[in-house]
Order: sequence, then C-alpha cells, then structure tokens
Amino acid sequence: MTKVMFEDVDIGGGPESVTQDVTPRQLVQYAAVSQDFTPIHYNTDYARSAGHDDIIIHGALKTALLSQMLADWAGDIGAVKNLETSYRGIDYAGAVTCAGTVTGKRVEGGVGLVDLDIEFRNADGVVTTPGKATVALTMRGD
Amino acid sequence: MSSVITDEMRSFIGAESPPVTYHVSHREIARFNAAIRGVLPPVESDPTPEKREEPIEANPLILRSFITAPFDPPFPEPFHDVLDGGSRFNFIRPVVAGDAITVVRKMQDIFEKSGRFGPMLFKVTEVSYSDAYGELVATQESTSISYGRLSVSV
Repeated sequence: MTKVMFEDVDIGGGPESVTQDVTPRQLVQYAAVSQDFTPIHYNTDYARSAGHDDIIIHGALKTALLSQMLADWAGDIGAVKNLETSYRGIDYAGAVTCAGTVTGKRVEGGVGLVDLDIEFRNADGVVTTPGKATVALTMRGD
Repeated sequence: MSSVITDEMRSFIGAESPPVTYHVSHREIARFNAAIRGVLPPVESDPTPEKREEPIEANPLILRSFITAPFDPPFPEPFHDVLDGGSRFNFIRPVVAGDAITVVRKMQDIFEKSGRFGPMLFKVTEVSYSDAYGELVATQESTSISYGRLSVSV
C-alpha cells in the first residue's frame, strides 16, 4: 500500500480523488453488512413512493467511501482520527467521486496530524456530502 | 402549524439506550470491507480465519453496523420515513477481529424544521463504542431526520 509521509504533505494537496460506480448490488451488500434495511436503498417502488427518483445511496456508505479514500492514503501505519460529514443532497446509484484537500497540518504529542476538507460528488459533479477529517500520518523516524 | 414535538419526546433528551455488545469476527470485517470496495466478499473456506497471523483492520465505518438497541421505552417516532442527516466520528483506535464492542446511544437534542418533504423531526444522538476493557474505541454524533407519512397520531 502506498504510504504518504507527513513531511511530504502540503496544504492544498491531499489524496487522489476516487471515482467509482456505486451499483444497486453494492447498495444491497451494504444494507446487509450495515443492517440498514431501509427500503429506499433497494426498493425502487418504495423509494419513489417516498418522494425520490430512484433508490438512494446510504448516507453512511458515502461516509465509508470517504473514510476508505483517507485510510488508503494514510497507509497501514496512519489512521483516520476524526471524520465529519453532512448529507445535504440525495445520491442515486451511479458514478460518484470522493475527494479531499489538505487545509492544515500540525504535530500533537509526537503525532503528525493533517486536516482536510472532504467531499462526495454525484455524477454531475455536484457536492452532495461535504465534510472535514483529521488523519494521522507516518512521520519520518517513526 | 402545530409542533410535532411532544412532551413525551422531550423527556427522551438525556436518555440512554440499553447496551448491546458485538463480537467482531475476521469474516464480518472481510464482508464489510468488500461492501465498501464494491467487490464480492471472499469465499472463506478456512473455518477459523481469525487464527491466521495476518491482521485485518476494518473500514472505520464498520462501527455503523453495530446497531444500538431501541430506547426503552421506545421513542414515539411520529413519521414513517427516516433520513440520515450526517455524522461526526472520533476514532480512538481501529476495530479489529476479536474485539467485543459495546454500543450505547444517548439522546442529545430534538428539534423540528419544515422542508421539501413537509415537517421534519431532527434527533441528535451520540453513540459510544467501548471495548471489552471498557475503553472507548470511538464516538459518533449523528443526526437523523424523520419525515413524510405519519406513523402515529401527534
């Protein structure tokens, strides 16, 4: 796994954005492992009766996808320490993008911490889920 | 417009759900991680995968799969449909196979707004995740929004 070092991170940088296709199958998989069986995530008729155009992506799945992008960036030694997301828009199954931008970095108690603005975008590029995160990264000499 | 919030609902502020403990397995983590990656879960033929040497670390959001018990007595939910408004996690350490995670939800606030789907009830709760030694593994503050069809008279 690629490991980013704390010293090599600059403000304005961050993990590479990740675009992926969230399929109805993935929503069913996520419903099963998360125990979130709310029908708007897998039953089209139900979702439409509740006012949506189609089945929608679980909010927590969006946060999980963002956390996976951060965890992959931090590598085996780094860790996601804080993660905050706000679900401001509905996302339907399809292409979505996770992205993050470093807004600050600091050392606390010998740990290199990086603050990021993160966002989840729908297929039209609209940010539906903005958020913030703090990630601990490996420091040289660790 | 009359409020959907009743005195009974307000009485839940500060209430805690009964604790529930989840024993986390290697297989459960593998299935959760596969769901996040959008790949099919591995077919595990080893009956005791947790005894293998390589560690497996869960996606941090596996915590959301550790469902809290309903409040006792149950919260008088006024609407039929629920949306997730967002969450703020504080991760103290990763969840790994072998963990026993105990979850408790505390009601912090209740308020209402009117929006696209009509009147909406917002509930702000904090969930604590503790390990077998009683040490905090993570916390989650979340907002759930109920809306739409009425499920009880208010």
